[in-house]
Amino acid sequence: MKNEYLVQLKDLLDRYEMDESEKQEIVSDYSDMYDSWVAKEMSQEEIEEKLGKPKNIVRSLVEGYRRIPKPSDKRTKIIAISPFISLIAFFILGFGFNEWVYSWMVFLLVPVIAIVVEMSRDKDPHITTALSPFAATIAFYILGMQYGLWHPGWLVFIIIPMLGIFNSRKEMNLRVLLVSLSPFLAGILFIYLGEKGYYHPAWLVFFIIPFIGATLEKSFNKALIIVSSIVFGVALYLYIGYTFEEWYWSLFAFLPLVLFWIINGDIVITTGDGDVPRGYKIVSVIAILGYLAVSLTTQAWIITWLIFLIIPVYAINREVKGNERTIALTPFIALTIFMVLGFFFTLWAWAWLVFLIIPITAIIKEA
Amino acid sequence: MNPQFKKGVIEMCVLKMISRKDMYGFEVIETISKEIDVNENTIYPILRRLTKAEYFDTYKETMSIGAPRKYYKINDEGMAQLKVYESEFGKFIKSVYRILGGNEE
Repeated sequence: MKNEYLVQLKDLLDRYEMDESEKQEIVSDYSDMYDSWVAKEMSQEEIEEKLGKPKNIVRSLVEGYRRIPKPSDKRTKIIAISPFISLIAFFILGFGFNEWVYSWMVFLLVPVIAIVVEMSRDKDPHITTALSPFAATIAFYILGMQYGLWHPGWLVFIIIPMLGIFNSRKEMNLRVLLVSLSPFLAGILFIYLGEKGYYHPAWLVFFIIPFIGATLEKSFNKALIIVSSIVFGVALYLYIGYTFEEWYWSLFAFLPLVLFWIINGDIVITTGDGDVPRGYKIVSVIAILGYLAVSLTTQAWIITWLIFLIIPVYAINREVKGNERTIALTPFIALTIFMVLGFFFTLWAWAWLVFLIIPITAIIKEA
Repeated sequence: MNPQFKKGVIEMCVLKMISRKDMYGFEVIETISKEIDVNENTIYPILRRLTKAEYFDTYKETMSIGAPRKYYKINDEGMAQLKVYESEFGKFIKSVYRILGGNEE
């Protein structure tokens, strides 16, 4: 917390044409004062209240200093103007062509333009990866709304990690590349077999991932144990399942594999290191138990995952103060309202509008 | 109280305190906030401004525990400025008392 506070202070000071030594001196003075309050056994909140917000401190210290002008080149202007273009396009499509259902997509232009402008400047090879979520969202929405292909239309989202891997291919060797691609191979096989009516036991194809992954093991013996445990587990699972019709019990066939993974450190069970405050652990346990209890009772799995949002909400409430807290909370509020409107009232086509509260809140609060 | 006026008074108090003995930043803040109802976070900028105006010299003193402390020591310019402030403030107070009907001349 102290570090964050000082970093914020330094960042704000960096916006002014002040000697570096002077900035360092101010930061050092605040570091000393912070420590002095700590010695008085004050909480971080109390200390930061006594020292003042970095924004206010800087305001009182930079009298007579010139603010470094922000870069306002052509690219920045293009990015700045994109929300207005989107808004105009939104109304033209809506009022002019009655395409309200699709017109919201023009707002995707804002991040798309920013990505294209910023990443093309540096010739970043990951530009297509960065753009893929937007392309996938548009394709998914059109497939769903136009042709009712929500399933298997969601598969278009696979393009995101696939492009990520493709664009990183130069940094990978062949084995790493194969391991990276194995989830997609498994996923495609699973869907293919599933659509033929074999979702069970087609899920076993996901063992392709650790199977190929074993080739990355440095020790031959370990790789052999993993591969043989997978083969043994799958064979025994199918044998017990089909012979005795005891599919739950047959899952124990994978026990040797799981035990080996735990011993080998591939599976690590952790509750966070010593720095994680108890509140986080309690909230996490409540979220998991609440999720399971509500989901099993209501069977509303589509919406009950929202319960997990209490974890980031708790974290924000605890760590973020003032205006920033309200702004940081709005995405979670918007998401919850969006899901409730969509799920209970089937207003998916309109519910997305609620996400506008995020920039609106940010603008109002910052103003 | 008018914040600007208060700021001016605090500036004078800081000069006066440090004219009595060399003090480190936290000590100044703690001492002054015990006497005057003031936000602790307003004092450091004053201290810094006075240092920049070259009324104080600073030096570091090593501590047995923790980081060395930065001490503020008033110099001749600071003393001269303090005298100006005290004189102006004294005249001002007298005038206020006269208006309020007090005993000051």
